[in-house]
Amino acid sequence: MSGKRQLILATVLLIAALAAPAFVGNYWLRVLTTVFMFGVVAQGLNVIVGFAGYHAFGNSVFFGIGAYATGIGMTLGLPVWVAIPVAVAAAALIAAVLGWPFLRLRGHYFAIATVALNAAATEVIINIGGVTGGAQGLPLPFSSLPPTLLYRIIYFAMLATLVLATAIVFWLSRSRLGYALRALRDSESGAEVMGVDTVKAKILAWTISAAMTGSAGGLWAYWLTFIEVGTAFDISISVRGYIMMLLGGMGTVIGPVIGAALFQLVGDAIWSHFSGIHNLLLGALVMAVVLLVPQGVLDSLSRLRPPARRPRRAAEA
Amino acid sequence: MAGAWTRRIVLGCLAAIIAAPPLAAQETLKIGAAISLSGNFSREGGLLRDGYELWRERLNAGGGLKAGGKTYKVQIVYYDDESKAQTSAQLTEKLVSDDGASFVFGPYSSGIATATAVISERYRALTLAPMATANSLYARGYKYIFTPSPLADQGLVPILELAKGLTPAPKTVAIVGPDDLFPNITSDGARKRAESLGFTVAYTGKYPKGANDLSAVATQIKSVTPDIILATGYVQDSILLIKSLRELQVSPKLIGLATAVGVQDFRTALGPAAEGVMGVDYWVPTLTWKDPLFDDSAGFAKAFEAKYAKPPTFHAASGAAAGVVLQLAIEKAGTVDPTAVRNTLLSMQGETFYGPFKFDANGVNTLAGLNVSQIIGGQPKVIFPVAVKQADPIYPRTGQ
Amino acid sequence: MFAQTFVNGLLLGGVYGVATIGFSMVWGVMGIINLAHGAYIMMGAYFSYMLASRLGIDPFVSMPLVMAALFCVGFTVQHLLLNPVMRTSVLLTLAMTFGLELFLVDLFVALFTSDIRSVNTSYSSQALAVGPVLISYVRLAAALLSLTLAAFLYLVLTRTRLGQAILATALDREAARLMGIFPERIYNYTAGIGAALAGAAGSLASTLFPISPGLGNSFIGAVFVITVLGGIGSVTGAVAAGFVYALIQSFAASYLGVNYQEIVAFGLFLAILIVRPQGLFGKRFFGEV
Repeated sequence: MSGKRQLILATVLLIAALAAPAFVGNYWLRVLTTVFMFGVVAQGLNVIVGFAGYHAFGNSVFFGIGAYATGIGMTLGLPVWVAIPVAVAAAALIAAVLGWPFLRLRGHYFAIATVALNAAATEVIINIGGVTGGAQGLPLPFSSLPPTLLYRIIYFAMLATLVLATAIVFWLSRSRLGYALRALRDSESGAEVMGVDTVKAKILAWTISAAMTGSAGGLWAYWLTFIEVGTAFDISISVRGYIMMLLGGMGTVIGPVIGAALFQLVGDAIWSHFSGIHNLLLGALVMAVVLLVPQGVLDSLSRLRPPARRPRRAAEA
Repeated sequence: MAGAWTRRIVLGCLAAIIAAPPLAAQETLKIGAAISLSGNFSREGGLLRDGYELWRERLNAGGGLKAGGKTYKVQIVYYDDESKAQTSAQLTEKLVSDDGASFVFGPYSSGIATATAVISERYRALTLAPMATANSLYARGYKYIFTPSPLADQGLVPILELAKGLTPAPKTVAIVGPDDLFPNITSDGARKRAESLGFTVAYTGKYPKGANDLSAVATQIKSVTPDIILATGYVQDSILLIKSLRELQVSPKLIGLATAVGVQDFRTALGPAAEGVMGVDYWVPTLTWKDPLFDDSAGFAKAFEAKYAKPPTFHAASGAAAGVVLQLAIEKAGTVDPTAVRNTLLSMQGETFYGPFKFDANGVNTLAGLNVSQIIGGQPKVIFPVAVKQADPIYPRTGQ
Repeated sequence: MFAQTFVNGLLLGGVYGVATIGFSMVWGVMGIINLAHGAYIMMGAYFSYMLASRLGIDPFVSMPLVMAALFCVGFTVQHLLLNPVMRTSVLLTLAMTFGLELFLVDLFVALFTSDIRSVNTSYSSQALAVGPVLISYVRLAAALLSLTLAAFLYLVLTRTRLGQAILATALDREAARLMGIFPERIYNYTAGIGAALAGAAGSLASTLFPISPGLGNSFIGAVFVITVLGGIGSVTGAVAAGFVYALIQSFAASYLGVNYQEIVAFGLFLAILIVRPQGLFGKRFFGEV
């Protein structure tokens, strides 16, 4: 799908998202907020996986860090609009520091190292106890705003985060850093020969990715008001984000957002009708997607109509 | 032929129209329940739903819920929260804001119920959470959540009280369980009570939730040779713990569990190894408390077995009892306005087959009590409190 | 307590090893991180349970049957679901196995409910006493069988034509094709063997642990760690690392506290990954993946 088409699609979706709260009830508002949240997670993965080619399956660690930093900040008395930015900075900083040892690992090794990092973070939070609440979980201060208002605020905050994340990906797709990352995705040594500072580029990409994921986690914690390690560092958050990114097309600008919407909405449709076996159906759906539309839905859609020119690869859009 | 069919259809429609008015005169009271039907807590969630369902069916069969001159048919809308807090919040929101439920039946597990409670509190939907008993949940100042069950810190206390009167007197206690919300509270409560009763707490240990091997725990416990081993875990890890203790031939005088003994597959999974194990039960069939719907616990057990062809567990009993509590409160309040029903609940005192209830401002049942059963001859027998006991405790434990 | 802790670790290590070999081999030969490996272990445990409870066959006896059944599962899954995807992108296989895992676990909840089951043998609680140390017969048998299976697999890989073909495909798929080996067919066999070993691990697990559809999840974390410790794709490495991992867990639990057993294991794992990504015991057996 061409850049122009993606832009039109993105504009239409944004207008729809801005108008939606006027038409839908609180439940659908929550469903859409969840879609945006996963959209942000998927975009975070897009930066490190789609562009840089580093498969950060354990990126949920930054979701958890964002959530816990927000929770701890608010417990210590910070207002939410301070606590979340602090949490985002914390997630980004941790990625920047860990980036050096971690991003020296290639391929599968990096992937599992991030998974292990996620597991280790879980254990650390549990064993620190005290301010993190340990295994007891961490309750956040309860907002006194009426639900209709509060959920609209969170809706728009999550939407703004998604728009920002998508804008960053758009910028990345045509910036020097973006080209450097794609070069190192295709061949790391080749990129070095071309004069790319691969270490810096990779670390920067993971830091951006962590900041995005952390902001989703921070907002989520405020939204849910009670967090536990098991849910905040749930590896399935990044695995779902990963599949959404695949579904929409990785390396594209709005593919991850489309993927998040499709995956989450279909998932919701499934679980309201088939309680008890929805994982079975969801699993079957995931397998079907991988078998039938492996290049992502965007790409498959653009293949449906007869192309005027030779269709470009989605990754180049 | 076609003519005959037309006539039949027309007659059928007429009959339906004639029958419709009495049906329409009855209003529907919608209750929402987002509980775990898949994931970690699917089995407990399923048992809890059995209890809610039995209450609903029996109430509707008897004509429905009467409040302020109106009769309501009760409808319960169920969703599966996948044992995830995030999903529970989302579905509770759907139940209250989309499906129009003004009352909520809570999920299994305090962690998930905390997410549920946040939503129902925001919408002022009265929530009964019989299987979410973490003290922290009721210490947050929520106004719309109530539990008929005793809180988690009481979870092992009755076993200690029972043990106090046994001879030869046990002296040392080991307390072990997974590092998780509910077990931690139970463990702390048990440690404090054990110390105040004069026992020596020789060992306390927490293992990671979902640990796949407990031989290290068993080895540690073995090295302190306690008279009593108390475990705060769930069914699966309790089975694993008892298997591991057996392999290392750790045989204390008393093994006491916070949950599990009343659950059928705990006994079938362990077979003879379960013999002599004691466990706290929220509910046992010999209780003699009364209510208008099930009469007493024997009546509940009979109704349950008639519907599900299996004996009830405490999960189901607590679910049905939560229904009865709600029913009594609505009938007394004479309205289905959740805030009015809440105020009635706070001021009333009553009784279900599950036990007596009187709620404090935090929604905690101040009259709730616990029972102890022991597996004797492959079946759980009530041994404590003395008033409802079916057998004398076998002590010291003789099984392997 | 020291000796008992040591023995606990050794006895558990064997089971960890068998649970890992198949996963490690599939990863090493095909570059597939099989997230459904835990589900295969769970299936193996359920098959053993069924044979034990319905027909009264001891899990140690029925193990070949269970392995054969899982071989078929792994073979078919590879042929129908994974081979078509591997031609397009290796990383799609991860998404595929994630979907498969969701599907299989829920399928078993639907078939068996999430009731917890257990295989109880007459010798379950018997133990060999060596001084103050108790060695449970079941665990001893499980550990010895693990070693036997690992040795057998090692011989298959190094001494048979199929084994040679698997190794050749792992080293260089295109060169193997030129030698007249069909990589897809080799992949099917490799996946089958991987699943069969998961089945064996499930069989062993059924004698030691309570069985529920979530059984595999409690193993998959350890399996990941051990794979990396042992070197991806290495059979002997997986077995040795299984013992190392179990010993570390056992000692951390006994001497630091039970709640530290995982943090120590994961910390060590991260350290090794960063310092020695080829695993504790040496070379990258199947080349870069």
